[in-house]
Amino acid sequence: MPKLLEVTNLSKSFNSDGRKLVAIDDVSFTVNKGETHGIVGESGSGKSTLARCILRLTSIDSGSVYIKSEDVTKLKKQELRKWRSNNQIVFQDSYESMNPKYRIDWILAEPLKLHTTLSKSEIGQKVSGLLEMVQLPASFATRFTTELSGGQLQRVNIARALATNPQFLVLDEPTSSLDHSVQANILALLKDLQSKLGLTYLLISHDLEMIANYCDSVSVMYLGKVLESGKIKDVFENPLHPYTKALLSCTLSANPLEKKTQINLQGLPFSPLDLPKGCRFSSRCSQVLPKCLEAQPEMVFQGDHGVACINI
Amino acid sequence: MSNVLEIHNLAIQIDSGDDTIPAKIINNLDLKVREGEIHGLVGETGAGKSMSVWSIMGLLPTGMEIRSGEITFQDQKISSFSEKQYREIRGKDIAIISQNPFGSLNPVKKIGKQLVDFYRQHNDCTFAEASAKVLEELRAVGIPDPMRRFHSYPDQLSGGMAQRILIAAAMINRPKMLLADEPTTGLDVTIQSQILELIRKRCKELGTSVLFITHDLGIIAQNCDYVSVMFAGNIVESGPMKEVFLNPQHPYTRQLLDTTRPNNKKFNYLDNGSPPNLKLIHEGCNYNYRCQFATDECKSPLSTTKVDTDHIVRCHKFGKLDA
Repeated sequence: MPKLLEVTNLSKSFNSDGRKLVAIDDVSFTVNKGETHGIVGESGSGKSTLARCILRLTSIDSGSVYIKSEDVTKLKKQELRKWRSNNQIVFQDSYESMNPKYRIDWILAEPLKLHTTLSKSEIGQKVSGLLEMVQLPASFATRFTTELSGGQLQRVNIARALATNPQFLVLDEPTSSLDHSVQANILALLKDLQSKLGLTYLLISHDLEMIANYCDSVSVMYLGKVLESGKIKDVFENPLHPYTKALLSCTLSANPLEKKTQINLQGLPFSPLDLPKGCRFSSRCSQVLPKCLEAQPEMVFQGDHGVACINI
Repeated sequence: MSNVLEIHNLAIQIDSGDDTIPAKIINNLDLKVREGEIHGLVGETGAGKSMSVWSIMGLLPTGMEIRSGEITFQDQKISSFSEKQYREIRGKDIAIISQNPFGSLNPVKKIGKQLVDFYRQHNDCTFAEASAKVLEELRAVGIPDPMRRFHSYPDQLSGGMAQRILIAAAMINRPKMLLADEPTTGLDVTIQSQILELIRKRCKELGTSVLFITHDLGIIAQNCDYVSVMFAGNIVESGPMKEVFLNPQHPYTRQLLDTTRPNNKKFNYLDNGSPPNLKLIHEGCNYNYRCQFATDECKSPLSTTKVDTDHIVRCHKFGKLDA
């Protein structure tokens, strides 16, 4: 399977009152074409910042991002504009990411006006095609965002992202504010579109169930670092890192007969303003050794399955 | 086992002007919470979960009123209580923890002072006595270094820690009933499991019944004894958790459970998830507009059917779904 996205040694830090806040630290992973890669982690682990770095919505400190063997970090401003039509994002909060004074058809026409040379009538056709693609009635074109439910609005959001026929889509917690039935429908739609249009997804979520059900591969992030990554089956059925093990033990199965022993993490996470020299997870790890505190553990790969822990 | 809380035939609506149709938030709600049990209440946004909680606490927002029905708590009819009577039981016999702990804490008052106030509201004692009690309670909910936290302000706490403080505040007066309104939404899974364990443990120690509101079926399956599934202000299915989850009878419950296993669906029903119009609530089944089994019969008035001793379902098509 050819690679579509290749992130190598990506780092990003912010300045917070003169102190350095490390958001992403030396993150590497690859995503194959037509697959879905999940990024999972707690709040503050740098998931959304990672997405923004990959799409050049924010600058990066060091590292490289290749999409279709093109170095994204080196694109110039004019090139970037054209490139954006191929690489889109669906934001978490669909209400916030759309202009409430715009009608749905205007919202969907906007990317077409910016990125294509289509005529007015062609844009109109394309807009109704987009609505049909996300299974919304054509009558929605003349509505405003406040007249739509969360699920319907998220469909519009997806339609907008797909307007310019992109090949790569970042989904930043696409369903976190939706109810279960709606969530399932949106994810089924995304899966359907993926196979129809050959899309590649980067799915960001803190919902492990969702990652397990919809992704082909996954990276587990903690305080800006990837602690474990690999094929979904390898990571979820045979987790190696103590953090991944704890995370998976804490997911609650909806099957009452399935009882798990939960690993309760003790201790508090480090502040991203004051990170330790050693392993970032050491403050909460139950198997911590003196050498864990000395240096950052390197990612060690066994085939596709990589883990950053010296105790393995 | 006796019932701590009983809601019978409750109906709540928003009164908006004269000629507009009122939105019916809660319709013929029947709910019983037994002594010492954890009762899960599950449903989607707008199903009326939080509204039921507020009505129990006597905290309905202005413009909403109880149209019919009654709420009985420990053999007292609290739905007809005056505000003064409510103050006697609120926070003492019935306590609440909400979704956003920071919204429930006063940002300009120290944690310790707030908890002392909670305690002294219902107990006649000195500040020093109350402080000792508060410190003991903070220790019981697993706050490290309670003395330091006693003198902290809410913004110095993490989300998980703030939720622990709220649990301490809720349990300090030893309530008979705890209303937990999505207490772990917004917390990370590792913190969530700690908070759930704490609620379970504390309520068991003190013999408190819990009405646990959530939309997460996993939380219900792993924590609750009983479950009631709510849709459009009504309980569509209710019973012992294991029975309902392993042998669901309502199409909505079945469909909800299917969403937790998208790659291994049992029923595979169609449901587009569009929210109900609360102005068009009728006596029949209000789920019918989303239900693939719906016929004209479904709009006719409906009562609950017994599936088993405690397991009830509200569906015209009960027993005909699998045919």
